[in-house]
Amino acid sequence: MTKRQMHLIAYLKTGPTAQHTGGWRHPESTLDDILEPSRYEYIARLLESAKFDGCFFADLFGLYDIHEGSYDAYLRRGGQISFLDPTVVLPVMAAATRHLGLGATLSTSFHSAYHLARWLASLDVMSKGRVAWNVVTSATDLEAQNAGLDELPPRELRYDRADEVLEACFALWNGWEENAFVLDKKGGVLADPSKVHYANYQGPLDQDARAALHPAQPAGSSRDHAGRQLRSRPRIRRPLGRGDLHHPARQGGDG
Amino acid sequence: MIFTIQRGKEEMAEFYTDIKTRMQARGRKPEECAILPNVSVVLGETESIARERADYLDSLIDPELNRAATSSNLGADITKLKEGVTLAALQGNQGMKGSEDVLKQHMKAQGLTFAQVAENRGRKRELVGTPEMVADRLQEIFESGACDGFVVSPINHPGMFEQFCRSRRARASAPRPVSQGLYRPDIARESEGLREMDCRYGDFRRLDRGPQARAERPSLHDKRPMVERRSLHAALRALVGTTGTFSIHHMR
Repeated sequence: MTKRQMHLIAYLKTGPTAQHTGGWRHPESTLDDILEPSRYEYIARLLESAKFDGCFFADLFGLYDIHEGSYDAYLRRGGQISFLDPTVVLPVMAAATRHLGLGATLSTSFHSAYHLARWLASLDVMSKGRVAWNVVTSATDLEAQNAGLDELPPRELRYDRADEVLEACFALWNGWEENAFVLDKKGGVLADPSKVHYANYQGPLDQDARAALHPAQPAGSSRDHAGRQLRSRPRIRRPLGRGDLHHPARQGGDG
Repeated sequence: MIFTIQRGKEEMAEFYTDIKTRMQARGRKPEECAILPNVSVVLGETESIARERADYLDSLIDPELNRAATSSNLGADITKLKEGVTLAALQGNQGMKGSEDVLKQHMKAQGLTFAQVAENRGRKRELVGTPEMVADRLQEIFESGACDGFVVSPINHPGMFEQFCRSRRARASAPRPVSQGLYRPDIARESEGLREMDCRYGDFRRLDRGPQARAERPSLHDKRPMVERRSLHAALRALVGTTGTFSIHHMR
């Protein structure tokens, strides 16, 4: 048995304050670069140079205003605030590094599975397979309101939805077979439609039932690792459901 | 990969053993899922310098902000807590269960009131010492089988990460037997990063993580109606709440 190696992941925020509420006031905290790409490029290179496995951004889809019904104390004194969208900051860090794992916290409570699957797949392609998803359900009404809801759904429902969103994302990521791109200029064939499949995901909760397709793989993907990973993805097969009435042609091939 | 917020070695070990045992019971290799507890560190040239730094950092904490942070994590305005008003009533559907449980554990373990814990939130949780002391401590926790590594949370940014990374590079290249094979010692080698921790949700979610969740975790292929699956979910969630964990899913 090979010797276990210690894994290290860095907890990051798109802002100056993390879990220690006074840390941003320390002389070794920089504040003038919170909104600068250089801040995130620098930390990414630093972590990579010290062989961190990866990093991830803790995130909130809003600004905490729970305490005394206001964001006064939290904002004035410097609580954990997510100033920027991690899905926008991570590509900056990806461009500055080659190996560092890059994690985004994305809630399953509000966004559609298609949105999430597309964001993550695009990030994954652009970073050459380095993206991780910190899968969370949201825990505040303020986030729900930012997403257009009146209040947060009950815990049970949020977790059921999380399960469904994940299943739907897997189904969406499996829509394109590895060799779907033909890229034949002479013959005039860009891609082989028989190797592209609707997800046909039908979840138990109505709001997530959908059938859609999504190109998860870049053209000519020849990376050994990506290929290995692709083959080892979960295969998801669903019985034909309501969605198929609208999309009669397919039951996914290679899934 | 699982990120947990236990701070004590014993609690870490208990959680770790539980998850790995359950993985084996399901025919999965324990090493397929890395379990990383949260740590933060304060480093100094000497132990007393590190202690002084920790005390200084502590002095920068504003008690009102700590209360506001507690309200935020619990999903309840704690200034409204009084006789006859429960936390649950203020929360509604809101609040991070893991934070609430950790807070209650602190109250019990240290004999503190809710108000005291809310105000002292986050204090005195760091590993404090020289880089050698802290590295030895992390190594000891790791080798004891309490975890597969750590999620390092910054005290300040980027100062703490700069110190940590400098120390780590120094230690990794040091000709000390204790560091061999533990940290990725071959600095020249290219890290594979998260790719080495290939643990995908599709497998992980089939874990029976809770003492209450005796039945099989519903799989992606589970075709039972959701109402039937829900009781399993509830049991799982109860445990996830008490341990404050969530999974990081590596897409590929």
